[in-house]
Amino acid sequence: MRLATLIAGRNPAVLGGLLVLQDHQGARQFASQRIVAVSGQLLLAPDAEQQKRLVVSEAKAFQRMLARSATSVGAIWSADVRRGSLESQIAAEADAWDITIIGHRPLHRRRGAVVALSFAPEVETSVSRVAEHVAEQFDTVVEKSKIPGLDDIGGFLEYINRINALAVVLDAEVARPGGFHRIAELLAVARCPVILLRSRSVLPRLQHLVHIPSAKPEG
Amino acid sequence: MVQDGKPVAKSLKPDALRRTFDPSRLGFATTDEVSEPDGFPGQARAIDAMTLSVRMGLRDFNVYVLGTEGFGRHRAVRRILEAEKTSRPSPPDWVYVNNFEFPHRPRALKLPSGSAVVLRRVMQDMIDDLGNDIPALFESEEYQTQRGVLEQEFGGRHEAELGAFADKARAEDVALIRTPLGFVLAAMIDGEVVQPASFDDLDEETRKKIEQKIAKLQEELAVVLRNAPKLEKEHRHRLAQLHAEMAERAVSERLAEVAQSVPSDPAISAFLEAVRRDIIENAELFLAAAGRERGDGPFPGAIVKYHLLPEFERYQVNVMISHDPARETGAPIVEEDLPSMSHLVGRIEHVSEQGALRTNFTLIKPGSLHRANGGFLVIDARHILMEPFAWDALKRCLKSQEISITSMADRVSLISTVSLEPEPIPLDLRVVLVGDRRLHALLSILDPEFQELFKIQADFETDMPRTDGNAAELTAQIALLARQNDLRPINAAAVARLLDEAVRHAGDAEKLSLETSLLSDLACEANHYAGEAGRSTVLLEDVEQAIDMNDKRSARIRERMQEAILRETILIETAGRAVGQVNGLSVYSLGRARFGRPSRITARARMGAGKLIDIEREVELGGPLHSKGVLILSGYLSATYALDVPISLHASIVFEQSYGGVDGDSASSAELYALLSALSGVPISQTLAVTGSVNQRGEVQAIGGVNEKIEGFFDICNERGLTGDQGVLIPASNVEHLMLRPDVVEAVRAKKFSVIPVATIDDGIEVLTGKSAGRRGKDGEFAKGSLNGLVEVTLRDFAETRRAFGVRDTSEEKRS
Repeated sequence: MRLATLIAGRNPAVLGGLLVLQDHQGARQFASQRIVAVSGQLLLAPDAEQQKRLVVSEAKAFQRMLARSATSVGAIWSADVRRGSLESQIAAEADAWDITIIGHRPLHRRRGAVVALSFAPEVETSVSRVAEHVAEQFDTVVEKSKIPGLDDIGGFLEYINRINALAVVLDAEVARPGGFHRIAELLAVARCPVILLRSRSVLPRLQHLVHIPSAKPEG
Repeated sequence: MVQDGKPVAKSLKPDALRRTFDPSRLGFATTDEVSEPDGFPGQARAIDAMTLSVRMGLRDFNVYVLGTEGFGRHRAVRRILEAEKTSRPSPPDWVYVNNFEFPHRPRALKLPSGSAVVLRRVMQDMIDDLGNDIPALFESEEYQTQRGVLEQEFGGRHEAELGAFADKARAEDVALIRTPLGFVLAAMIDGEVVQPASFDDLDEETRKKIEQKIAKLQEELAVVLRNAPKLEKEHRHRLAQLHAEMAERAVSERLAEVAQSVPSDPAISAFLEAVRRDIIENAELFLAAAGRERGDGPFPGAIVKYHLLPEFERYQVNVMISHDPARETGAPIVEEDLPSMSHLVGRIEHVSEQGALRTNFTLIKPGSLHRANGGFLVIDARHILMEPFAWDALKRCLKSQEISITSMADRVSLISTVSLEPEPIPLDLRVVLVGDRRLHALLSILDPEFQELFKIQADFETDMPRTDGNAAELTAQIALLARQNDLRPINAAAVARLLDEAVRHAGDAEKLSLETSLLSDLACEANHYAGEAGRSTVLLEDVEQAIDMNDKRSARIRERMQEAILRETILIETAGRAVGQVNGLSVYSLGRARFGRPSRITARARMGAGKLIDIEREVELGGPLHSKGVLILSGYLSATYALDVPISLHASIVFEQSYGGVDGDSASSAELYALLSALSGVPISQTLAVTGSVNQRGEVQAIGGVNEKIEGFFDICNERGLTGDQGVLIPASNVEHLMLRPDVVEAVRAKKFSVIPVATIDDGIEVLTGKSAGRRGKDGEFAKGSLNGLVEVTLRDFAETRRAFGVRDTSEEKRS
């Protein structure tokens, strides 16, 4: 949510939030299954009912946080909850929004670098710009990675699996069509938020308005 | 003295009544020619005592300067201390600094004289410099690089472990799913997570295998996640080390500069080392402050006084006392005129923060003990005894030889708040306590610690013998007072008149009063009159005028009393004779003003049971000394007359028209004369007044205020018109105390008034009655017709009458 507030605050924005309820949200497969808490404690995994209640609570909290963030930057906001696969939802939203941030709960307080992953030179600038802005606000550095295409992402995934990253920024165009399963994969191994840019809409804007006066009738 | 069978009063000659100073013998024309006195005339004992106290190096030889106000004690103290201070070295400076280990126990540092303010300033400069240096270091590329490496290293280690685990889990067809509560390890089949409902459909063996696999992986994951705090801790430790290394460079350099600016001293070195360690440990303070203070504007704060910020108070130097050798030489002299506890020992102030009272070492304030440490402290005894806990605090510090700061609130346990226990500062001090004799006596009796701590007393004389040498010294003192008060030069005649006043004030013609404040006041007033008259020198007439006006200003009550007598509201006879009645004399004191006044004393006698009633005592208007005097009369009577019969007298004595208290025995001779007159039936001349106490042997003893008493009666007689047979009987032993007013002396010279010394009651009664007192002859009887003889006859008659009354009474009883 901090990333969303940060990015939305830079430009006048509509802030949308989507909570994706996947088929498997961590509900208990078998009785002795445990949840491993971030502290290392083993907790009893919730059953379906408990899971349902958690989800409802999560949705409410998500909406509250979204509203607060949007209000703080003067953005209009909307919130939605949908059931389905993460991959298909990402694909849909990345098409509809200029910037899609796929969130991930932090594992620890230490901030890593913002990783700017670029594929094509012409969008490198916007990816870098967003990555630098985020890095500056979080007082961290930008690491730039470049790969030819999403199919070559295997090596990057191995890399990102091993490093502490604050967020990964990349162009959503590279995942079209049918590449969003790799984005889901990236999210799982990066264990940090992934920021998808719809590159065409984040090109630099004119800094000044050009006023073209209307023609005056002579005579 | 008896002449031609009649007693003759031997009046004193005029020369004996007032011995004045001869201006021509003083040896100067005006005080401009008189050099300043070497010391303090007549105060050798006190000056020697004080000098001993201030020169002795040993503790507890503090001095109590006792005497009366106005006799130059404070001036003498000041002069002696000023002379002594230069022989002592300038004492060290003292500061309080933070005790980084135990902040509630600030450390006291002893520093060379004059270096405390230097240390404070260089420390402030150092903090201001470090406020810029340390943030700059942390913004440097070197730090950023090292920090980045550190972050990457530790971030990578944790992620690497987690990543390796995730790979392993994936390889075993187990998905690692992040949920709100943590991680769930879920079984996968064909790359898809198995739904809970579907899991139940699996065969038992498969389920069991999956469960075992997941259970094992859960434990492994728990171990990986539990490692995170350890990694965090290690990260923090390495980061702290990095910060310490960065800060060390800046701090050490600046501290080296500080060390060069201050004297080399182990205490300072230890303090600077503690500062160095603390700054390195708390370098983040500088980063946070810099971030806050610099601001984002076009001109970020280039000059920030970091040392003023609250978070850097810990590095301040609280200067308690600093001596500037360039401006102050020798030991300090402090005169504390408000010796309250906090003014003496200092205080710890508090500030209110969100409703709570907080304090720290910067809020310790010094007291006069701090300022005088190494030197001298002068305190008025009455003032310090009036301040709650102040005397106790002073004694405590003197006994422990340390200045420990406590507050009144602590002493009475009124408030419970965060407070400090500052390290006590060693005390090396000589205390000069100035007070009156009564306080000294009370302290000596009631405070056992007083004599231990104030072993020396400097007892200031109130007068000195009247010699040419002492007169010259007092003259020099007058000249000094004139210069100090910027007065006109005083001529010899005026100085002689002032010396006469000094004699008068001493109440003894053989003494000179040392109450220099009196002479100073008269000189100042005379100077004023000289100025009004347009003179450049103070003359005799100016001093006379000052004396007269001084007298007039305090004469209202005296004049009212005189008026009452002259108008016969108060009955006082100055002519004729009366039995059992005599003019007694008393003196009234109101501040410096004293005046005498006659009082009628009457006695009545009859046969009785041997009781002598002092009416004043009966109504509790008589003080114990007066009662003692009357009882002595009783002793005299019973030992002198009718020794072979019981005393069968019932007599009463009273001060007529006296409605206030009466004390002292100076009227006991007058009372005895009245009683003898009442017993003998011989009248007493009312043209005379009497003063003098009497003992059981009939000897008339000296009294005080003889001059005022004589003048009191003289004034009444003078107002009514002197007849030539009026006068005052005084004890012979008071003759050397006479220093009467010039107009009284002139009246005596013109034989219009007399001052008659008497040594015994017999002498006195003869003058008062004109009848011979009588002596016992060989037959043991007084001469017939003598006054004593008549008294004895009366007493025997009383005894006989009483005896006859007793016999008759017994017979009547028997008959009935």
